[in-house]
Amino acid sequence: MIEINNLSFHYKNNVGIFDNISAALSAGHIYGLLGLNGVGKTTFLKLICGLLFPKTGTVETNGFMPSKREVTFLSDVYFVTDEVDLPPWTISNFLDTYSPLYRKFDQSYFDSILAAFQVDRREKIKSLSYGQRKKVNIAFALATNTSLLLMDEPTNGLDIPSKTQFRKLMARHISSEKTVIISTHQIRDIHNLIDHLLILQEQRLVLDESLYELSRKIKFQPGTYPNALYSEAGLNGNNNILPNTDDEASSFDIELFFNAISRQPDLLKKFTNINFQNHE
Amino acid sequence: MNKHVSGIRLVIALKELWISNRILVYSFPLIILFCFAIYYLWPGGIFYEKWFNPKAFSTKEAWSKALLATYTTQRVFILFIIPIYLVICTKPLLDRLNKSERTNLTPITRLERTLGLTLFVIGITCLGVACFTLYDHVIVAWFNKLYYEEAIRYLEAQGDLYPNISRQTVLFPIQINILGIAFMMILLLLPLYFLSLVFFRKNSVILFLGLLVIIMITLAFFLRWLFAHETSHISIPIQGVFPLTLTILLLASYWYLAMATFYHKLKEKEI
Repeated sequence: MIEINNLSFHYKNNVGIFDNISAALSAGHIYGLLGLNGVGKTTFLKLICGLLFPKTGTVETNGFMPSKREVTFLSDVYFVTDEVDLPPWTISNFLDTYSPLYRKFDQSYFDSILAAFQVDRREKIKSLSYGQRKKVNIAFALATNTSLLLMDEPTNGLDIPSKTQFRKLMARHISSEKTVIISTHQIRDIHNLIDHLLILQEQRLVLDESLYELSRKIKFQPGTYPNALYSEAGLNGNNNILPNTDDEASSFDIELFFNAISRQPDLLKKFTNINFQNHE
Repeated sequence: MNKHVSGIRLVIALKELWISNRILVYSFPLIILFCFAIYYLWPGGIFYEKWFNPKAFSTKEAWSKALLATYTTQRVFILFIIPIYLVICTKPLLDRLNKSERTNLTPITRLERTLGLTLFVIGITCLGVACFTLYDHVIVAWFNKLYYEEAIRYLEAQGDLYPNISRQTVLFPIQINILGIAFMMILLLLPLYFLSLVFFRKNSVILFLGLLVIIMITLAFFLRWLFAHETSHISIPIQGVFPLTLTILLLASYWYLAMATFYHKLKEKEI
């Protein structure tokens, strides 16, 4: 469980990143963290795991204050960063050195993931490509079985088969005790995994809503709809966001939805009229 | 606050340093030996001349005279390879502590990291000093076997009834107190270096060297002023159990305070 209360943060140049954000993220979900470049997605993840400290407000993760970086807390958190930062050793050395630090580490799970990614654990990490190093990091992250897993652009650098493998692994990985937060621009790679959206915009968390709740309020349909909340020209005509007044099921197009929020910031107010939750 | 030190995590902290630097550590004794070779075979030195230019010392007396007149205590400066080696070994870890998300989220407490780093550098320093001492004694023993008798005969031929060879020549090893001073100087500099790496995010080594120069200049001015203005006849003994114990306590306190600052700085570090 992650409790964020009145969080504000800025870097040394006093340029504000977050202004009075509050949220409660619970276990058993894969959160998709979206936002434009520079809005603070990575900063948000760093505040949750304690790499950065709130200027005002509090962050509490699994009952711990992340900024204290207590070892009990750290052994139950793993952060897969966009830049792969692994030591230049063999994968076996890396595994043997660091796996004892995570009490729930599953070595056979690690080996099976590595095999699925087609990476040999006898290889030296420094001789691997960026994508292969990413696979090693993801394999290690999943094998730690931490209750909080943070991922920043996890599919960056993965080849197409590996992205498919990644989706399968993540779908099997999540459980009622685990929280996964994935920050990404490549939403198409993981849109079927996410069940809860977090959207950052202009120093605020403008959206914190499950896809289920969103799907009850809006639907996505191609065609021409003059009363659409939002329309975007696609390859096969317009793609539209419409109010879901008739409780119709439709495939939730996260990318279209995010574009709508980004291009028309006042759209959330329109959503409010259909009893939509936000954090403004 | 994590005050409890786990043996497993401490071993892992040391293992990190060991795996990253094992080739450097294995080659360290060879590097010191190489430094000795460079010292003794430096062009222009008596050994260089003897082995590469035999005509320079055509008689045994000429060689003995040169041997007794050449002071070689400067070979103690070979020990400066130790801090250079320590910088090479520890800078990658200290850079990661400044910048790496993975390193700072690894479940190892800052106390264990600080202890691991301390043990590692003390270990390397002891290894360096031990290798230096061993090589110095072996080389001196070898030179004594080759040249000691000749040197004594030369001095007796000069009319010296009680020949006394200077301890500063190559026929005597570096004195233990000089080694001790060099060892302490290295240990004194290390905490300052660690603090520089965590306080100065950019150009840390250059700023550390700059800080060192400032400290040395300040110390030199202070000592010069002190000796220029000394009027007291009180002398402070530097030998004996009490002053030695006091020196060790002061050193230990300095180390503790510096590494405690290092530990707290790690705690406050945002990545």
